[in-house]
Amino acid sequence: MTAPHPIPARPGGEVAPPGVTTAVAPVTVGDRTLDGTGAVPLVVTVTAVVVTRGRTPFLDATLDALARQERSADEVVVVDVGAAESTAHPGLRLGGARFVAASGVRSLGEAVDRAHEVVGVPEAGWLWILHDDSAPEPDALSRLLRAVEHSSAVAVAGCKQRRWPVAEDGTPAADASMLIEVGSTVSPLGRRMTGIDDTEIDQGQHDAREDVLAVGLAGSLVRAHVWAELGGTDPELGPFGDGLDLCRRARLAGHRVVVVPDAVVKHAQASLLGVRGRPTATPDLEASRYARRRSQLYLRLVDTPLPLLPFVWLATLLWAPFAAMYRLALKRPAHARDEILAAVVTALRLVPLYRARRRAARTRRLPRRVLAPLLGTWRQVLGERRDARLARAEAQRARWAPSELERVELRRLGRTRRAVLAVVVLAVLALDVALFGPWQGVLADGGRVVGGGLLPAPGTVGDVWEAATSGWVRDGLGVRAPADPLLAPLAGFAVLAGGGLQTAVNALVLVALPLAALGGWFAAGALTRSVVVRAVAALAWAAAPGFLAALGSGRLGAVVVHLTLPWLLVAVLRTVGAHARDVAPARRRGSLGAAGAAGLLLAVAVCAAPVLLPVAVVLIGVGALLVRRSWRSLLLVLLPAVVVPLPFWGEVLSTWSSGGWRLLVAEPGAPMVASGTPTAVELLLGLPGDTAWFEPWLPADGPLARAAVVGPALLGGAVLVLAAVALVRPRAVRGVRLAWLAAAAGLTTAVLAVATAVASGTADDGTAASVTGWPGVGLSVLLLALGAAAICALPSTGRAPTAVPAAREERGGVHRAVRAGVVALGVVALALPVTQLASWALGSTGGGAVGDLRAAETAVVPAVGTQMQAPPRSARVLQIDRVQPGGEADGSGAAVVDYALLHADGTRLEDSSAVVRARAAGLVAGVGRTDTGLLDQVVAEVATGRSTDVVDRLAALGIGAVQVPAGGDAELATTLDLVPGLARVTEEGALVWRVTTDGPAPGWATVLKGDGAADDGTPTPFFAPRAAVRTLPSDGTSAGGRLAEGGEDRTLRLAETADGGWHATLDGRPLPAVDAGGTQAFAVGPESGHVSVSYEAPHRTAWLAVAGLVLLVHALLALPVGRRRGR
Amino acid sequence: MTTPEERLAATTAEQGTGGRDVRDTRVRRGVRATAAAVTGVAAVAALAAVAVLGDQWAQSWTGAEQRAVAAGTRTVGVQPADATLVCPAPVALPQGADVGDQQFDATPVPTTSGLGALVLGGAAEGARTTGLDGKDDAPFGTGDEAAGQQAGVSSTRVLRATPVADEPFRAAGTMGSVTTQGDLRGLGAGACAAPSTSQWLVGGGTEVGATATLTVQNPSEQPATVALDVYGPGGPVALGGKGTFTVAPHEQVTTRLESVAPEQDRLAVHVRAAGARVDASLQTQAIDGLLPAGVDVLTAGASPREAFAVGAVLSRGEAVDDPHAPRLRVLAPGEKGGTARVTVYGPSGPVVLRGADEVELEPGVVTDVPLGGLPDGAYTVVVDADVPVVGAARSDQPGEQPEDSVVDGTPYDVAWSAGQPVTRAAAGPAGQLGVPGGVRTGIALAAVPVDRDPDADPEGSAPVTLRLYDASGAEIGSRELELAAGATTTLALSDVAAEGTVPAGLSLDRADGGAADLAVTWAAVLRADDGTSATGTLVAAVAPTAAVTTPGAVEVRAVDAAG
Repeated sequence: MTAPHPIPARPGGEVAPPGVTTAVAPVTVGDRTLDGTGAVPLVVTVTAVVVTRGRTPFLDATLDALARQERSADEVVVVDVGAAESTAHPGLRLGGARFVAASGVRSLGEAVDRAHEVVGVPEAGWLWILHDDSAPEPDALSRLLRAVEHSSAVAVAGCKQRRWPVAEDGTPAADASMLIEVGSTVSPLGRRMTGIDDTEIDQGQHDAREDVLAVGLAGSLVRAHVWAELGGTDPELGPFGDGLDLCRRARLAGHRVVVVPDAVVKHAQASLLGVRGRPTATPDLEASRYARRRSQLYLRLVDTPLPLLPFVWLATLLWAPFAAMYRLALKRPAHARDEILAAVVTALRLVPLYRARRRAARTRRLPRRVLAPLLGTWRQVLGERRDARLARAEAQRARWAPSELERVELRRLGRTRRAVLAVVVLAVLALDVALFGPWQGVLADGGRVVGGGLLPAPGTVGDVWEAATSGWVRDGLGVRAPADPLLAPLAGFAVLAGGGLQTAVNALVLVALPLAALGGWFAAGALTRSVVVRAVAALAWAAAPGFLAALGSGRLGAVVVHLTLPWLLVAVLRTVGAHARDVAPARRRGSLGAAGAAGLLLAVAVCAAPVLLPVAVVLIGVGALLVRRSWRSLLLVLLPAVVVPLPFWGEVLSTWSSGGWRLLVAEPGAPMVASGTPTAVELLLGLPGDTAWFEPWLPADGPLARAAVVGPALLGGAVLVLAAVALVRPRAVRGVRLAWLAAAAGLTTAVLAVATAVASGTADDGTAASVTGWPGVGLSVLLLALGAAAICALPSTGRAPTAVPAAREERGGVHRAVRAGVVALGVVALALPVTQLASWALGSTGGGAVGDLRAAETAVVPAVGTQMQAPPRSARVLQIDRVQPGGEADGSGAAVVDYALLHADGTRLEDSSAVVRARAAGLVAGVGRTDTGLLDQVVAEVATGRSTDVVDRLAALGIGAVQVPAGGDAELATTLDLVPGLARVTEEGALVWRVTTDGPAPGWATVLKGDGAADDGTPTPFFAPRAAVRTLPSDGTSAGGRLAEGGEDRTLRLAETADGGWHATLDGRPLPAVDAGGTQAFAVGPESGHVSVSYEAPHRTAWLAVAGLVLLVHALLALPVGRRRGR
Repeated sequence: MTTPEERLAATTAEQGTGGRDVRDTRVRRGVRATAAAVTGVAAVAALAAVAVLGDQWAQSWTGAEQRAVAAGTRTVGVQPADATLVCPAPVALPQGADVGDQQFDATPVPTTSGLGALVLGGAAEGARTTGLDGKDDAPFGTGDEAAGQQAGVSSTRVLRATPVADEPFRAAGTMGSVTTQGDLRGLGAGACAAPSTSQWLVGGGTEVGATATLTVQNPSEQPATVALDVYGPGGPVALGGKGTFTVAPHEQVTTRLESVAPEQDRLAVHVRAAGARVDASLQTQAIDGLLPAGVDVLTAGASPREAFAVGAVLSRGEAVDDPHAPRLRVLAPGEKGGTARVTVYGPSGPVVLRGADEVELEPGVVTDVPLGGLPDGAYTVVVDADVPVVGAARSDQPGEQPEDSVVDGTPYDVAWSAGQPVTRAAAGPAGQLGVPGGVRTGIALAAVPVDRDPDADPEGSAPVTLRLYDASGAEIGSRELELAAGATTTLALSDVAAEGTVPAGLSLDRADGGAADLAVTWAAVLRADDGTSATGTLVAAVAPTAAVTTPGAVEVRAVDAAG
């Protein structure tokens, strides 16, 4: 600040006495002074105001430039808005300039006003507004003055702004000729338009412009009285948009705004690029985005005609989320935040808006339409967009231009890669077709894949959505419990499959093998570019014994996990930028988009197997420590997995000490009793249980049999050995160790799963047994981790490992031996998974089944039953059968009556809940269920056929029919024949008895006479014969219908367990709930009206909102757009 | 501007820094290698630790399998409903059979039928018999622990009682019909049985001179659709539409098997019912020219199983080839044939039956095994087969023609004894039996080894207690018996009953302390006189009714219906 800045004497100009604020006499525009030449010069006073914040690297150069002006300013005032208050006494000088300390001033306009106050500017004078970082060319002022001297209409004259480059250390560098703006206008939506590309070089191409809507204030000459008349800039605006605002108001007040292309100002745009106050920071256009967006929105509100204002105000708020979504899709989360914040803040700051509009209205003399010729048109907007897009694409092309040799090499690599991938996928696809091909007829006819843990999945996306989010599990008479998290991804799959959940499940089973191979291929591709290794990995991933066993036994969760994990690995590696590439990048950069995709994939995997969340938390936590630059992205990966199954986590945590942790390893789907428990060592080798190669065809004993037993473990063993080798190699040291940690976590998960009881089930011989978790999920993690480590032990080039070393001639013999060994190893590596696949395929097929899976054509419930189950009746069908545990031969045990209460064609996948099963098995504490007792009692009485009122009781539970499955106990069928009120409907297949009562046919919601209490006020048992008046139309989860006036109090009884979440309204008025012996009921009263019943789980809306937001954010991030926008 | 000294110092410093850099790099490389080695070993150790110790660690704190197993099945208490036992219809000549002149009247004398019934325990209260339509109530005489009834009957009777939950339901009834002359000469008796959907009746024939009349009774409220499977010596008999008929509620239907399956000299009938549970009995009668060749009432025996026992097979020491020697009838009704091993337990232990101890069974073919050559006495026959089989045994009893008869020759009466399951049971009820009036009753008891090894002599003994009750439900005598393993013991009820009392029923209990691998099998032999000098020539064998524990609870289990 102390450097001398000599100001040369102005030729023929008066020198304003320093320190005298009123020294210059007020001169009006018309005043003239004669000088010696006889010309009539227009005497104008120019007060240059340089606004700075403290001493900036540009200030000196700017003051220098001022000093070098051909026609120097009459007064130069430096306003320091960063100066301490203590320096604020008049008369301070800074070289030839007046120094005004103006602490607390927040905008350029205020700073100019302060200068105005201190030095005083003549009414007819001009203010030359300069930023500390805007240095005018020496002829700038004279050219500006020349431009304005002949027109009194011009109020604002702007310079052509050129970019002032900044060196690394923040000091201004040599001149350059990049254009910033030559005046500007706004698009129809209020966006600033300069018509100039980011990298446009000034060649005079825009010098024809004169009248413009707005000019940048840096370097602009403003008529002082206009400035005063307009009240300066809007204090609400920061450094952005103030020029536009001022110019527009000047225009509407009847003045002209011109740009003087001959006058050039170098502008460093320190505020815009975020280097103000941080000279060494990298210039970043993003730094000022929020402020710019805010001023843009604000100016739009200020400028809008009053009648439109409410709509624009509302649109600003409503559009913000969409704009934010667009920004997210472009992987700019900060922009998205700015979009929302700017819109909200702008819309809420109504007082400044009011003031600004009033100020604008006060000075406006012309209608808004006079601006129309100056405004940007849509055509211009589109043109600018197109230019920007083309420029980006060109920049992208220019950034990486491979040489011709590189191109050839890459093309060759690509060809080999595609060929090998095609061979691998086609081979697996052929096996898949051979296995599942025979099902196609049945499945095309609307059949379904069931068996093992796979339950029928009738229903649409809506049903799955309802089941996944309602918080009400329709098991038995229903119970409040969180649904299996797997339903959430299944709902997504159902959407992809065209709306049917069964289609999605069928497709998932059918394409699981090729998908697994693909997953293995791409996961390996993220670690190595060797096609042989990738081929082996693809086959090995598809042939993993744990995966094959899970597929064969219909364990949907484990299958989904196995198909998801490889992609998750790819996504996480891309998130941290550690994935292998054909051409190694100069700098590894993480990818936010990959983090979004990884989050979604992890959510799918965690939904399928909740135990993966703790595993992921540990591994990603350690990963975030190892790769610190990506820790934010890595934590982002965890978010959806936490949020999507939030009710499930709530259940797990709230019951943790009483067994809730078991839910982590519980599987979705039907519980299956394991035949044996694998040891930890077997699990380490990837074996989920007793497996041997080609078991049915091998002798029981002998070396061949022993080899067959060892066989399945060879693959796992080889991977383990290679992974150990990777530990001693220098490649990816941290990654390999993290992989080993993951392997330990996976093995722990598997060991824990097989040791944990999660449900009670029925063994194949009908005896009760406990169901333990399935180790497959842990095995998938184990194989993925060890496999990843093993790949790190192998050469990672795109060339085959048999490629030539340089010294072929000298060491030909050795080389041949090595080469032969490598080839042999490759063949063995390929043969192991192939043998495993072949053995499984041969051993698990038979009788049209694959493992436990089969394509079922016949319905569980015959048509007469499904008709009852359909709305509007929504009655249930009770399936019962009597079985002899231990088989018929062993008649010692008591017979057990198995029952299932069906509201669809079979027990739906959507209604299966691991939480409910664990509660029923007494493994997790839960709310007491009243319906189980009711059902057990009624089933026992139906099965013994002894109670006389059993039909009433069935009807009270909404059971419209009783059925004995095909091949069921004939004695039981006879018993049912003898029950009065049960009328046999079918004679073959599943035997169905219709429940016939005196009243209306049993349904889901029944209106009864009476208020649910006996004469003495005690609640009557739910089954007490009470006159059912009618049933309400319902869809099984809600009911609604018009109720005519009744003579007396009435009760609405639902065939659902009583729960506080049930709500009923009559014409909008809530109905009081009453006790109906365990089922939900409402007192209705005699009035008529529209009754509506539904279930509402607590916190459902909040959860859905949060989960939806998180999923939306991740999905937008994961969208493969905008990845190449950066320059 | 720097001075030369400063420059020198800077150079030195650079050199020094350079040296440190080299050292630093080395140290750093060493540290890095060490860290890599340590973490590598740690990684391997972690995985190995989980693999080696994981099992025990996880088992030590997870567990809870038993809780899951116990919770899987739930027990629901239920109130037992009334039980019914339907008694066979009294012996009667089939309609249309009574033709001919006065001298050769098929029924010169009327048939006397009676019912003896007994209900023990808590179910005794309220026990009664009714007609098939539920009317014509006849209450039991009720004593302290039992209720009894002994009455003449003329039509089908149904025994009704209310079981007590979790207590053995001990009710039995026997219908006996005595005809002293004519085609129906003989004693036909059968036990009342609980209705069911499947009944196996083995015995009788439809060759010329023989009549087999099947009676199917439906005591329920719903109509029953009955289907018959008839097996003969040539295998299953094709019945066409004649094998299916409907029995209306509270009705009975009588079918003559000669018309359905004629010319079958060995019969076995499977009665299948749908829609309601029914009872079936088969009345067999035969005449040998003009001589009555015996009448009996067959009731259902054991359902197909791999072992069954026939009690009270009576031998009079016939020769091996005597056509009236006792015969064992066996049928393997399944798809597969097999081999049956026949073991005969006589009064003094197992008897070796040369040539008849192994029988080849064709599927569906009714096979008779002659049991001639046995010494005089009562025997228990046990059949073990490698396929499920049903069977019964027949004993013939010669009589005398009345003195005024115009026909010469020896009339016979037949006793069919149905196969019973061989049940291994410890102490507890071993069956009960009703005794109709007008007959003399003896019982033949055997302790049958559960493992019937032909090369091992049965050992041990089974103590049993026999109790007799009269029609008022009062106990009129009891005896404790020690049944030797593998031997058949006979006992006349008159030796046990108190003087001047008439037993209406009896019960057998297995006492504590017997060999556990012995099953008690017994049957009653009912005898009546035909008025000639030879006494006890009318004979019938009745298998006891097993005591069924009425469950007071039902095990239920919620399952998935995957289809």
